[in-house]
Amino acid sequence: MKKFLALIPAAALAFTFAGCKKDDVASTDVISVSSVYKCVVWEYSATWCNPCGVYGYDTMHSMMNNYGNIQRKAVGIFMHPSDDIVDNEPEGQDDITAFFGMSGTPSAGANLVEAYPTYLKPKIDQALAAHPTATAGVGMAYTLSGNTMTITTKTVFFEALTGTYHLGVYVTEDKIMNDQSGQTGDVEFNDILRACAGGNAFGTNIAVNPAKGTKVDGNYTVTLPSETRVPANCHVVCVIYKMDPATGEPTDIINSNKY
Amino acid sequence: MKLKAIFLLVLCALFAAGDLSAEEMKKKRRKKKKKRGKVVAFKAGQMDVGLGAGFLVKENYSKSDYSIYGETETKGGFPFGFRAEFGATEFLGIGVYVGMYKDEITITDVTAPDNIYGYKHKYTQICVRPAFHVPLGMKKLDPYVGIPFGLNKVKATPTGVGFNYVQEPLKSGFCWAIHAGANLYFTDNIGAFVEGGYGSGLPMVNFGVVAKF
Repeated sequence: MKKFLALIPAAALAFTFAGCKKDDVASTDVISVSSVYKCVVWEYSATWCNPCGVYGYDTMHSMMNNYGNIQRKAVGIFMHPSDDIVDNEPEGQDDITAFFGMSGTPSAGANLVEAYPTYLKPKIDQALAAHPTATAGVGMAYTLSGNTMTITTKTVFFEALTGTYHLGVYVTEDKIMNDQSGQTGDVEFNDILRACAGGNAFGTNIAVNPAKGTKVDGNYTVTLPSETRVPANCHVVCVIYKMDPATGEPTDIINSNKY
Repeated sequence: MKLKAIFLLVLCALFAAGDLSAEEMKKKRRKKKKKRGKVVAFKAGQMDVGLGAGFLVKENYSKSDYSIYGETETKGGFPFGFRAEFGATEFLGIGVYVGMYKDEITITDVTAPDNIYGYKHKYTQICVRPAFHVPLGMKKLDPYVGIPFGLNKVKATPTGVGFNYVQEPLKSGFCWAIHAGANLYFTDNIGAFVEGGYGSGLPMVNFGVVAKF
């Protein structure tokens, strides 16, 4: 009996250790709802368009390197009409170019403001200055099986907001080597739009008048077009839009992210 | 005939002696049992104090609350605490526990690796600690079950340049634990204790030194 009672503390310790779970090992697929505000840089360009090579390519390339790769304050969605890189325009692309009034190439935009590439930098600065802190954030992870991308998103509203909010989910491809009129030899193309999830230019409704701390999970399946050069070089870009329910068009970009 | 009478007398004497010694043995056993019943490591009216360290604190926050913001890393401090207990009866002790520990959670935004932020937490627990003792009749071993519960006071300090109110800081709240443990006395007054169990906001395992007066 005494021995049995003396075993109680030992059993309690064993129970404690057995009940202790190890922390999950962080993986590269971790979802990261970013608390940094990132604006969206749009471009409408074509490989056969000489001014796109002369006036657009270097400007956009260096701007995305600065704002995107170094500062991590911008994500790119670069659209091409039918050319060497994009044979068939992704469903939804027409609605985006129509919204911006991008009738010709090269055209560009920062958030929801259209500008010629060489005049785009101040527009990006204005977009960032207008959003000194993020009021919402989005994070995502994806798996790729063949040409099928399965995407998981998490959107968090850091503050209570009013209005209707959409989440646009896009797939873009990086590191495409191709010739560009106006440039010498093959050059690298990044952020090339391959698909809009569901064919929706400005996504689908995720929240109306969200309260502070509202979390919205999303799941999307996207089939990459056959012209995708290297599916493994594809990334997911998510954009949180504030929408005008009357027109069905965005009035602001609340945040965006790329993974 | 004479021999028969002598044999019977010897036999009766032997029985009587055997009966007497059995009676004495019973008395001795009763005395010993009575004496042993009084030998306990925990007594009503005694005061004991303990100082120790602990580990395995179940955080008040769930790591998953933070994990959606990026790669999270938690660095935990070494909890330590002080306890004092008064023997209300030979089974029940009423006491207090005061503990402290620190930890830090760091979040790295994988989509903007310069965006590293988080919280430093300082916890102070102030608890009532009833303990139920099991008298084993042993002078040195005092097994018990302790149930500390009370306030876990939390001070949260945001860290990092990229901190952007993604998560509310932790607030003070209730803490509790159920520990099974034992005091093992090396001398009449000084010993060591170890206890383990489960709880929230308090170490699941504690060990240290104990003194009784």
